[in-house]
Amino acid sequence: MEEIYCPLCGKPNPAENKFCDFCLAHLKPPEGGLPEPDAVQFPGIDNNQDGLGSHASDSEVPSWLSEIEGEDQGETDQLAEPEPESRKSDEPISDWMTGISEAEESDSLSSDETLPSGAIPPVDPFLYGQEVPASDNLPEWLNEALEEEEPPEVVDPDIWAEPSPHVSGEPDTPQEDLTPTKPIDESTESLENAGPLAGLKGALSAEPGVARARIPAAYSTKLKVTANQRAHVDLMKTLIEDEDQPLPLPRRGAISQQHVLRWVIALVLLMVVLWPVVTASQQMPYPSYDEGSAEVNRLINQLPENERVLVGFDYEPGLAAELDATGDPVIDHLMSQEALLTLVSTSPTGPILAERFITETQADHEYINGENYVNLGYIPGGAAGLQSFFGNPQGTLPYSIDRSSAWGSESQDALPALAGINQITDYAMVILLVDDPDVARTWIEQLGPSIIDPEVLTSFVLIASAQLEPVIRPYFESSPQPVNGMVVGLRGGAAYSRLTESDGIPREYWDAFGMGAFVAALLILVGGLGYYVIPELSSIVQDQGKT
Amino acid sequence: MRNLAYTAIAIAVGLVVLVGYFLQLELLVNLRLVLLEWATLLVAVALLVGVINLLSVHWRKSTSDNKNRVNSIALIVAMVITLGVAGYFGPTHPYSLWIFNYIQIPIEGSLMAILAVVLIYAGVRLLRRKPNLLSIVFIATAVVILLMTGPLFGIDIPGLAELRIWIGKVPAVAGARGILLGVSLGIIAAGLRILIGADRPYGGN
Amino acid sequence: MNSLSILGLIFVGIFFGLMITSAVFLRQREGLILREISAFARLQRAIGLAVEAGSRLHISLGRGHMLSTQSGIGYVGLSILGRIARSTSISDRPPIATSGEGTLGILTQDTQRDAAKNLGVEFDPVRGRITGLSPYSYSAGTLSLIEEEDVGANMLIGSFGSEVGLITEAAERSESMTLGGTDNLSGQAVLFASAQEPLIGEETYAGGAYLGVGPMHIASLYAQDILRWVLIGLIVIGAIIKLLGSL
Repeated sequence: MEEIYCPLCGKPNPAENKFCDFCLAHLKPPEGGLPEPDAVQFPGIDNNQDGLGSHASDSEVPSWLSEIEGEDQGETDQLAEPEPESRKSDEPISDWMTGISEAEESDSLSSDETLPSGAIPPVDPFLYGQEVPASDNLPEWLNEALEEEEPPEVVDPDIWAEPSPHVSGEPDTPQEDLTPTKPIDESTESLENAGPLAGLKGALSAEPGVARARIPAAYSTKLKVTANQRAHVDLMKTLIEDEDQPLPLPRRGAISQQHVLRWVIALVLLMVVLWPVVTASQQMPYPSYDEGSAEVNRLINQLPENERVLVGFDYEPGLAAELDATGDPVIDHLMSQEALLTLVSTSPTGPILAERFITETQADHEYINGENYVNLGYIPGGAAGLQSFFGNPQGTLPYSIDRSSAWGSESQDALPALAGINQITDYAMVILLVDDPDVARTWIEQLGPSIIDPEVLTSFVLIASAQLEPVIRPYFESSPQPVNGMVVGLRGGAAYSRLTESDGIPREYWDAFGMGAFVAALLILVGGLGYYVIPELSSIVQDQGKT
Repeated sequence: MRNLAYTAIAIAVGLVVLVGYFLQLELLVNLRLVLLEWATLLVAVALLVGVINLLSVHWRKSTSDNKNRVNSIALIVAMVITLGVAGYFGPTHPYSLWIFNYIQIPIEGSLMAILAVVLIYAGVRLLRRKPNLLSIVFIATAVVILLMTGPLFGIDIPGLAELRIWIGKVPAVAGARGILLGVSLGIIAAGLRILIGADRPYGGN
Repeated sequence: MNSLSILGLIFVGIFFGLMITSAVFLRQREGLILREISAFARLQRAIGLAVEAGSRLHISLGRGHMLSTQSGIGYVGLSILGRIARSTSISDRPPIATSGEGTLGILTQDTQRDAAKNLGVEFDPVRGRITGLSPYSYSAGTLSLIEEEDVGANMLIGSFGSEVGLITEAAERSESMTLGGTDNLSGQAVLFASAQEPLIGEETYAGGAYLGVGPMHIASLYAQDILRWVLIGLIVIGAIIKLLGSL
């Protein structure tokens, strides 16, 4: 990106900037030369602060320079330097300033012949690394000396010219602040009339430095600071000192508005859910029909007695309440068909949940471990483990959870639930109780290709948490179906209970669930609107109060 | 050199499993099954490593001046008791089931109940935090699904049940499919990066 | 080998080809432009602020099985962890990573150890923790960690279910920033409502590219984008053909 350097602070700025980002000085000359002092106003800076008078030549210089000059005036006055005759009060303060003001229009001027009499010629910039021209205006010895010496590091008199590459953010040497030497106009040169240089024109006079004795200027060692600057210094000092002081964080209230809101939600929800439980209310009607549940019901009805079924218990204890209620009527129906069950899980807690479900939730059926069902336990390895189990069930899970040899050996028969099972498609049905969409997808993707094979008679059914519906529905509705039926959420369980005319866990939960869902919807709707609208209204009211 | 060997092994195993899935060559399929069984065993061992890690972190916390060291001590004691009971009597013994039924399920059920409150609270604050069209659609969908999933006191609001079914079958499924397609592409990308050795989570990056 | 397998193999092959082509293309080109995802911009700022404020950065990698489809998001999380660990491990309070699965826990520690070794700093194994091995125990373990470790920013990149709501709630209570992305649909819905900066769908998989993990992450992101548009085109064409067929 092209950059230009600030003539005042020397820092780089983007080329399109008019003002310096750091000191707010003008970066480019305004059209038509330098602005009139009135036109140059820096934000926040009063050109005539603290009652300091402006310089006599204010009409020629920018106001920031006038200020500097104004402040220096007191000191410069003490020098009692005689004003050169050629310099009038309305002339520029220095030569290079003239160069600035006339730089644009006098680019083509190279010799003083074209200048009006008495005018100071424009100065070509002295740039680092640039060869100094052997100007006619300079004495030969000076030209030679300049060629021998390093180019002087001086500020480009044309402050708006392109910066030289060496210009950095900070001035390198104090010399950079110096006014460049000017070629001397021959017309103003004086003829030496005494001493060894007699007769020479333009020789350097020894007199001004040697003969003109004067008392050295008395410079004050005190820093001259205006009241305004003092105020700023004090402010800066305070700011820096405050940096070291650790500010105590505002103490959070023990009870905030958010705490109250959480408590209100929790209490309302608890009361609403507890009410039907306490009153043992079972009045709310079951849902009328559910396509997925009806399909599962049809598939289980078609199962012959003592058919082998694989049941996966892939849910977490936290969702046991939902999955127990959803799966209860289905497994109850399955057990009433006297199906022989193989229980597996890809979750570490799954085998215990499975055991609990069969022995406690379905205790009425009096299923016996090893006879009516076998719990093969945990399949580690997620999808890879599942793939391994589907490909080689005996090799992956050779023992049941109670450490008995489940698949049999030469001396021992396989357990009844596993008799005749060599691969996954030997099961008449695979049922998965699942609460995680990823786990459900893994089962479907691993088992799906076998299920859609027209030669395979195994059906695959999902009993899933309500949150899974968007994930599993596409598999159920696609053709061919990798999922043959699904019972989703307590609603699906309730619909299944209606089909089998059973009053299991769904009946106990249905009223409380209905009340809870209704109040949750109401809380979100009313609370959300209130939480959004009330602060908006109060801010409007506050604004009106202020105005 | 060692890292090179790791990378070579990882790439070779990955390729065998990937190609073995698509090409049903007997040698490849058998090799793939063996590798999967090894992986399954390793994951089971990793589960044990996880338990040891959990134990070591809390052991360190319980022996330090941590203000919550009591929690760590409680965790270690509970872990030792459960391991002892399930290890000695077996995971399906009534004692093990008692711990499961009366400690683990209530604790996780309580967390689920807290989650219900947290989600309602998040729903309430959503409009305030992100007042945009997406949030309005989100809230409206949540409200319709909640209302129509339950029995709604037996009241039949015309069109609302059909709206719930439509949301469940069309926008929700379409959105889920779209997201899953994106996720699947991401999974393939991540897998391929591992296969070509661009990502080396097994060290040596 | 059935037609589905052939299709799958072709698809993976095309993806691989696109990734390599993108990598070559990117090598020749400078000044890469990625679509702005505000979550990552904010995360980078939050990382800086957390390091400056002396608070800890928490990276949660979820509980996805490394041998399942959840491994994809797990690897993305590990790459990001490695990247963040390399840039913040020398701070007073290096980042802490949590996971809820054994294999992922081992890889988490390995990634952090690798980063520490590269920087020549000592690795403390406690910085890579398994906080629980079931979804809810994992969340419960992470809740207390957020409070105890004075976490300034949380990055949840991994496989999370709805239980992630408990973690975002804890982060909100501790007034720390939360960025969350998961491959799990329920988790995404919860994160949308509760996280400050949720990542939707494949945005999570772009994390590596946005956080400067490596050029192959950007190349794979290009390949994903191209194939996503191809899939969109195929779906639309298929739908039109089906519609015309039913007329």
